[in-house]
Amino acid sequence: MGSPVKKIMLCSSEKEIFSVEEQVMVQHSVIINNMIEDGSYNHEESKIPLDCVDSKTLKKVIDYCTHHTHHHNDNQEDLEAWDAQFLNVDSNGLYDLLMAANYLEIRNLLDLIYGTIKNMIKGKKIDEIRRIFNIKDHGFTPEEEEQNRKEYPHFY
Amino acid sequence: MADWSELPKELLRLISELIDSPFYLLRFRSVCSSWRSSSSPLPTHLPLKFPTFPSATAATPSIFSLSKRTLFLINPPHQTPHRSWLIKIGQDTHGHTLLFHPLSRFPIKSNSNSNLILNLIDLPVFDIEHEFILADTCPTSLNALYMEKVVFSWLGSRKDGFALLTIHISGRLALFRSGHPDWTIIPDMLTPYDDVCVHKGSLFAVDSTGRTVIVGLDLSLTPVADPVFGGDKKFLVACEGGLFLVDKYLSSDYLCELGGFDDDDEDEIYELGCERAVRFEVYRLEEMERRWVEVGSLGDRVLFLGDDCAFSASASDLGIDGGDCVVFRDDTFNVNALESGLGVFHLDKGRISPLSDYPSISKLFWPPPDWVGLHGLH
Repeated sequence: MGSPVKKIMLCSSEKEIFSVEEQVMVQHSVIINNMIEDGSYNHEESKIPLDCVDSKTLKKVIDYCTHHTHHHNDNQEDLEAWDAQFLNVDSNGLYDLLMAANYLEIRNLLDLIYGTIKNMIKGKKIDEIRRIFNIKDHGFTPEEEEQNRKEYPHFY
Repeated sequence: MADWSELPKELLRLISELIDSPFYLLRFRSVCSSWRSSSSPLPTHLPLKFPTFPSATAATPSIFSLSKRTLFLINPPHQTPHRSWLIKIGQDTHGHTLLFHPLSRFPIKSNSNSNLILNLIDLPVFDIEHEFILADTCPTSLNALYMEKVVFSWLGSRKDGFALLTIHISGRLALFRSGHPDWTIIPDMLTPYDDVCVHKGSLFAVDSTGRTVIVGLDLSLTPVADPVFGGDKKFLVACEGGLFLVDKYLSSDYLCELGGFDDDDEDEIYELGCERAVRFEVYRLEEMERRWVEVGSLGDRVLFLGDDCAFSASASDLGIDGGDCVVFRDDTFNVNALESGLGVFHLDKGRISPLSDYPSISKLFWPPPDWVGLHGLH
């Protein structure tokens, strides 16, 4: 009680430093939890370099972990509403978040992103999905396209 | 802009493994070659033959055959004011495609002269629900009368096997687990079971009082909600918003209103026709509180109660104005008249109307919209 909240330093790809409650990151990120546990993080000097996570994405990831640490007792509906708002980003933002969550091994954020991706595929045509996920070249040979076509349910 | 075809293969594989709909997985695999090569197709060959229920009196050994039908919501190819089409598609034992009214277990008789082809690859399609049918391959067997709903669930990852859950003629639950030679009839029962469903990967069952359990693979029954009592027939409907219980109240005054039926059919109509739905109550499972809580509104949602499956869709996906209703089938007897016996219970209005009062819902079913091009099937 009364002791200052322990903080850790995270460094984005732009070398911007973010100071975060240690507990928040330890609870959510497997990687950071491991670094604290095995003593490879030194509270006096260290900062954790996240060279593949830009500042904008890192800020969002920290927001996610902070909210879920402090609001884990909220009712399910409120949490889901917050998550939906949190992931109301374009596919570019979602891609960055997915890569960051994967790098930091934040499992509940990964599950949330996977669920969102699943929902983005539902009820869409193939060309719509390609547009949403910015897939410029599908890379199929004509034979593979034909194979695709055959696999679909069709009726005569 | 990030190009998602360049996502690491390991992540693509994980995403593809979480897609539980065979249709959406097909979609995923036809987006680009890197998505395709990072994913595996769903095992297409489910075991098709199962033992029938254990019976002391079975004279001849018989087998159940399992078939699967998929409920699709198919939208017109271009964004136009054209209506959507809700259709159930299955196959007969020869692999021929059969079309079903979404709430019926009987196929729509097709005109074989129709030479049109509809391939779902080019259309916006929602994979709404799957239903599974167990049919006794021996038509003279007592099990041939068996008509209960069956649900199927993969266990954890698909490599771990699967389970089938249904209701035995005794009202008890019958569970089949892959790797086991026979069905297990779970002896535990306070009152006979009414319905089964899969929700969030778990097998749920509700009895005629509304008492609800999760069925474990170790044959355990874990209570998840206390009874609600009330109505006469309970249905479970799983959807994105959670698990719903629909309680159907029946009346026996139907016969008085029924006139002009054939003498031959009189007895049957009497028996089936007397069970007319008069009222519904809808509940939502509050998992933490372990109870069903009655809901006054379903919002944008429409619940459909069919013979072999119950499903749900949002009014916006269906392309209709306003949801907040339950579409149900009252009369399993009249198999030929597709629209007969279909009713709509509107929660806000609190009353039942014939489907014809809801043309936007009625048009989802049959005949197919013109853009489908299946005129030969009328």
